Amino acid sequence: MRRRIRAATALAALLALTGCGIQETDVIEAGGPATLDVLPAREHRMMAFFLSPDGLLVPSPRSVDTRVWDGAVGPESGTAPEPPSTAKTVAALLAGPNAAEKRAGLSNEPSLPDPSTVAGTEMSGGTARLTLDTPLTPLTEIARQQLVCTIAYAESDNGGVPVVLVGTDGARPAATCDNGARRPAPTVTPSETG
Amino acid sequence: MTGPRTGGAARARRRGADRAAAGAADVRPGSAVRPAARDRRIAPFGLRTRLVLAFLLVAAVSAGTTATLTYREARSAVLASAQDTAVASFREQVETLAPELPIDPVLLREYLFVIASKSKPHPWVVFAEYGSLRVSSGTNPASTVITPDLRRMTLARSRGSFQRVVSAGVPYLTIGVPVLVRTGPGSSMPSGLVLFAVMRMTDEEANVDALVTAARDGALPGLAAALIPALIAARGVLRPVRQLRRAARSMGSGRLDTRIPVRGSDELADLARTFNESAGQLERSVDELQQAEARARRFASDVSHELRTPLAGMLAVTEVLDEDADGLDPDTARAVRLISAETGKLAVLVEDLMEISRFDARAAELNTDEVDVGETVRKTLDHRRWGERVRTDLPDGIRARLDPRRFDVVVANLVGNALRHGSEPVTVRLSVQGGLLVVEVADSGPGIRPEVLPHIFERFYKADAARTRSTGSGLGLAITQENVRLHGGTIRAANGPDGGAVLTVEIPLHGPHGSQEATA
Amino acid sequence: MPRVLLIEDDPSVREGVELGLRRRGHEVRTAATGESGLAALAEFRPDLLLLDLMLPGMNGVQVCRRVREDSQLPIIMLTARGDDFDVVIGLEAGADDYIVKPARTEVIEARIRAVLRRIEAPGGRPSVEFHGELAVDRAGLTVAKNGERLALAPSEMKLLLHLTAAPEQVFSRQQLLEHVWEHSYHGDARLVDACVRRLRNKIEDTPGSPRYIQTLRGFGYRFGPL
Repeated sequence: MRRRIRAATALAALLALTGCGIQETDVIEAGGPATLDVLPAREHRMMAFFLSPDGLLVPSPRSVDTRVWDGAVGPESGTAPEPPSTAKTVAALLAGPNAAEKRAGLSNEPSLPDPSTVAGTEMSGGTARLTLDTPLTPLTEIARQQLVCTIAYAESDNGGVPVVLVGTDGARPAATCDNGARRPAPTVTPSETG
Repeated sequence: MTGPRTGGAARARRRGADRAAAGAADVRPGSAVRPAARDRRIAPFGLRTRLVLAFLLVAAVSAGTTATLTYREARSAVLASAQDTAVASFREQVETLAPELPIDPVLLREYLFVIASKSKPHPWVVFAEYGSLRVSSGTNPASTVITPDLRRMTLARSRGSFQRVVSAGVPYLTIGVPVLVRTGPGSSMPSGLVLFAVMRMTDEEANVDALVTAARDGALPGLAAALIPALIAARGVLRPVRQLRRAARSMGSGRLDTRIPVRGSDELADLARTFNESAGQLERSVDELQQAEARARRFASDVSHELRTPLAGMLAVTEVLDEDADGLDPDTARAVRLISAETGKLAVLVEDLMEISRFDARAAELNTDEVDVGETVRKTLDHRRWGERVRTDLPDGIRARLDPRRFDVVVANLVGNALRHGSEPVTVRLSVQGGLLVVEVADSGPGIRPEVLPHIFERFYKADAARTRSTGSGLGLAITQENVRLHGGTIRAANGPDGGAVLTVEIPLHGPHGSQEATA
Repeated sequence: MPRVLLIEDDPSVREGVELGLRRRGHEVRTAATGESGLAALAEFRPDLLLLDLMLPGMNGVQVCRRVREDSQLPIIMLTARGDDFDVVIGLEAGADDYIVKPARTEVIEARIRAVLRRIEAPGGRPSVEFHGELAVDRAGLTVAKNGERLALAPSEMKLLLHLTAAPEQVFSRQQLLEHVWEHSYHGDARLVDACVRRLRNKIEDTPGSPRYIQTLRGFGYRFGPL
């Protein structure tokens, strides 16, 4: 008798557990991201990495075609675009987000130095090097990442180039951009794009 | 003397057998009616109920399990189909974009409208996040349904995710897709733009609810249908069980030739076979016992019969001995008187033995007559000259149908016993209680010892092993009991409140059932 | 002293009963078979016949019937209790009483005397009474119906005399046993019933619906009312 009651209870419990209707779920990963081309196109842009309000590194592509940049003329098909120099890109980064970027909440890490401190960039032996006329110690890790990613993507398409930062207080070990990007790792050598 | 007498004895025996057969026949209709009435009653937790419940439980469990599993699978399929479609088409729609970064909110909102217009399978609302920008295709720029978990996962990982959320009782599917910027062939990086779609799953909910209804509607008739085989199976099991019970009761009421038809070869058939074998063995042993008992009784009867003839001669001449003993020398006279006295006792003993044998052979007949019981008892006492030794309480006008000769034996034995073993005064009380004639014979002696009480109606029972033979034959109370039983009555012995033994006889006033009618 | 003919096949019983009765002054003749008993009847002319029911050859009942064909000789059957059926047949055949063996001589003699005892004719009454078509002569111990004399056995005669002595009075069977047969109150009522049946066969026009000897169910018998 008691056993039968227990069995009935178990059955009822099982049914209750199963539940009816639609249940909530945890977050479930499903498929890849949406990968798309953004404007301006690769050939006409330089990319600075700013911080989003969530503290993430967000690339902000800027048109390097001055006409486009100034908004006066569209890109001309005849003129071969010239990728901007790394130093120029770093200077743009350190100059801070422009109006559109600010409107989107992008910002610079406050410890980043002034654009005038950029002493020079060079590419040697697959490693990019940025020399700053200021000590590196005050730079936070995220500020350093802003610099590293901006340089890495300026030197190569996929941002896989190691970057060495050199300040007045010495050099830091080589670092790579860590922004969750996917790259086809060994096939691209950064020197080719340099 | 030999020929005709055996004829008479055989007749008597046959009569006894006929009566036994009639008694057995009497049992039949009664025992056939009662079990049928009892069969119809259903015990609350009888075999039938348990079988049906077990059947229903099994049916319910299997139907429930099947329904539940089917339901779950179907639900998963319904939901997965909706989700997969939604996730894939959302990403597909997102990938058609070519936004300019940093994004312009107005432009982005237009994109979102485009995406929202391509909703699949159901309309969705699209939300976008970029930095601190919040834009949507709906009325609110930010969703209240999207969980922080989904948002965090979508922002942190470059993979699409979805989550089902029930908000205010409405199920939603929320999908998050991060937008990656293609940086080269095969390489990309997070753009900081994240798109979310929120889709109500009301249709899926309706489908799932329909599944539940279908499962329930399918299971309940299934359960009802299971009741029929359950009842049939219960019947199949119960019929042999009922037969077995009926047969067992029939055997219990003395019909040892009862057998059960054996059908099939299952366990119940085995049981029936075993029952039949046991019944056969029982019948054989009972038969043997009965034969042995009948032989023993016939022997006792024959012995008394044979003793009676010489006794008849001896008893007729005891007077001669008694009269002439005075003229003999003292020793011979004592011997002769002893023989005379013991011959008398022997005659009584043989008569009592004959009487008991007749009861055993059920050859004792009841010749009833309607009599005034008070007068009958008075005559019994007067005839034995006990009038002044016995107090009586004999109300006039009690009439009963009984065999006067046997009733005389009953009263005489009880009073005689009280006078012999108890002490005076002995009281005979007569009364009528609810259709029963009650005769009470009480003495004023020390009463009967409790350990003796259950045995006093046994044949030749001696309360005291050392006690010598009393004047009675040792069969008096046994014969009394048989006579009372023949009248359809009962006799019991007890000790009265004042210590004396009280023997109480109760006899139906109107004779035993089916007694022979009076010839007068 | 009465002359008794004893027909009994068992020698010890025959001898014992004969011895006992002779000691009490009876003249006793014995026979071992029914045939020899019947033969002795004519020559010995007994006052009473003591007849064992179970006899080899011709049995007691047959002897009884043969005797009743032409004689109203008092007959007492000797029987063993348990042979109830034979008792009834014997009584139907015309026996007046029966004795269960074994019995003491005093018992046998008491029965003999009872059967032979005459019912005293009450004084002050006419010796011949008329009841319907019956003429009962108490002194002469004769009964006639329509002037034709009826042959009544001693028990039948005594019963009729007892009943007619108090017409319309009900007698229970126990009372009749006591007064007519001088048995104890608790004797065998079948004696009365058998005797009534025999008597009705002789005096009633239709024995099935008796006029003279009427039955009162549950109480007994009475004579009349006519």
